[in-house]
Amino acid sequence: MPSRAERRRRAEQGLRALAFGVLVLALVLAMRARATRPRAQQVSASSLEGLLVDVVHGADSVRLVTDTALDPLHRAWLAAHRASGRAVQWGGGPIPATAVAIEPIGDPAGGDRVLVAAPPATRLWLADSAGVIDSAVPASGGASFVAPGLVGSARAMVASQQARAVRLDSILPRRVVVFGRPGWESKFVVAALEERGWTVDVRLPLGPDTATVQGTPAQLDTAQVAAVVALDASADREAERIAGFVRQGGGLVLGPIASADVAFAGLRAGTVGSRLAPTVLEVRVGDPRRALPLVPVAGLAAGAIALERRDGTIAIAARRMGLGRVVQVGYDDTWRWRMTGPDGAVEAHRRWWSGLVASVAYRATLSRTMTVEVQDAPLARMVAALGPPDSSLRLAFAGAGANRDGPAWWLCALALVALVAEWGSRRLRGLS
Amino acid sequence: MSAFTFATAQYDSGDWDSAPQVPANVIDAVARYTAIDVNPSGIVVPLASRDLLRYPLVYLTGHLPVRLSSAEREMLRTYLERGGLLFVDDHNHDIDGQFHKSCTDELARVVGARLKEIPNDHALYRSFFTFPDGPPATSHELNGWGDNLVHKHLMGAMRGDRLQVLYSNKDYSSEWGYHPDNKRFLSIDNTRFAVNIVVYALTR
Repeated sequence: MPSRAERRRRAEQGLRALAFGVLVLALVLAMRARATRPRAQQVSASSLEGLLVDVVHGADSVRLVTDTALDPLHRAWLAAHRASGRAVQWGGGPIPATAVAIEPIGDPAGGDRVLVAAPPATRLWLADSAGVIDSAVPASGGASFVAPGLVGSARAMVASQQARAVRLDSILPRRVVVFGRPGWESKFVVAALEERGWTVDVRLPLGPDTATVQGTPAQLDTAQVAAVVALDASADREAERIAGFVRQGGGLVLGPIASADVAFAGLRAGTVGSRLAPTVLEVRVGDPRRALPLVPVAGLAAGAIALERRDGTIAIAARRMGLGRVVQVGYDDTWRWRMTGPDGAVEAHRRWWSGLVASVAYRATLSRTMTVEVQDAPLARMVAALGPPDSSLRLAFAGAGANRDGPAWWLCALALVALVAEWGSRRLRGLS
Repeated sequence: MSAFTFATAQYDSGDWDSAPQVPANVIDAVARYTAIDVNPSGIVVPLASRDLLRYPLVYLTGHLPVRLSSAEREMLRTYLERGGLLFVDDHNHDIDGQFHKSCTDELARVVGARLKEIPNDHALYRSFFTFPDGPPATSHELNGWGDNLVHKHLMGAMRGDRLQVLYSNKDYSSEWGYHPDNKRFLSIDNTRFAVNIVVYALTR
């Protein structure tokens, strides 16, 4: 029977042999893996420059695994390879379907409406070249932001994905024509629009043959006029021309009294209900229009939509007609909001009226020439350029990684443990 | 849509109610010449009250010195900033009188600048009737009282291109201070300029 020292020595030799065998096995596995690996490059988006080198040196195909969309330069480069016959596959982590678009608001005060598409219930951030503007968690497919003064490009960020767009056109200014009876409502609607920067033409009849006229309200043409505001029945003699103007692409804001006029029956967004008294006595900051009398839109016309409701009744509705748009406003005596409201009421009233007009105004745009490549819909543009993502590619990448790295890792660990145990045993025996 | 209501400003100092027949006469003229929907009765509104904001044209007159309280001054400033028009008539027609001096001082404090002459081709003189020579003279300007001058211009303060204060030394308060039924004795209705003021206020 071997002595205890002999058994220990044999164990050390066994460990040494095990370590040696494991190292040989790892070497064989590594060589076999290299021999069977296809001539394809699997890279992450962050190592695209290395991919460029490999492809230039003759890789047969490209497989890209990424969790962000490529920038326009790399996207175009891979698309060129694909077009030249080289197989290009891509896939990886879920890339948020994000897109951003900018449209100038037809309001003389300027500003842009930024529309952002994003997956529901994800936090999205809107920024421009000067910094973050706003954020939102859209419940549905996106969010709309109003940006008073965008600096440079607009960026919508969802997780690590970023969409970027720049303004492509500007609004050419057009006049607004207001028809109404002389009174505080007409006066302050005109004042609000003028103070906001609109050029306003006015016709306010003072008698059968007399009217206060400002500008040239008789010309209703989208070449000159962006929108008409018809406040009351005094506009009915113009109803036919207004209808033609709207079909041509012009906008129309119908006040509650005008909406009730039979001359505008074919233009309004809905029938007119009974006049409702204000629901509060004083104009409040949060909900100023509750203090205004309301002539609700009782029944929507075909294709019309409700834009605002008060206590279940429709207060503002809109419809398309021909090439133009009509918005029917149920609120009356809105001048009281401006005059009797809390601090800021003048600006709020001004902004509200200008917004109504801008929402329907004929948009004559002046297009800009694009000089930079935009990334307005990264995922969509990537799909358009490289085809749809390969859902198996992520698994293939992970599997290849496991085959390549997994055995080497545990075999090396095993060899290391064996060598350390053998060395420790020898040290304890007093050998070096 | 609310009808036009003629409002007279009530202030703590002086004699704000010195021309009680003017409102009825102006209302009569507006109804007589225009299709403007007008309330048959005027209203008196305290200058310090928030109710002032419900009447975007307010008439103020008197003979005595005007000293506004801080509340009146603040409310009047808010009123003018929001687009109200204050029509002031010096019932003394006296540019050296106490009403004129004190009232123009007060108005300068409210609007932040002295009142200026309004050019006689201003839109006010064409808003309904045409007055090619500017403000119509009154029979009271040369009645031996006051400064005994025919005042060539009205004065005012502008907010942008709109009048926010219209100030008269012509004593329209006396000129229009009679019962409307007596207009039939006049060859030319002297309240026609009141129609211009109301129409201007309602349309500009």
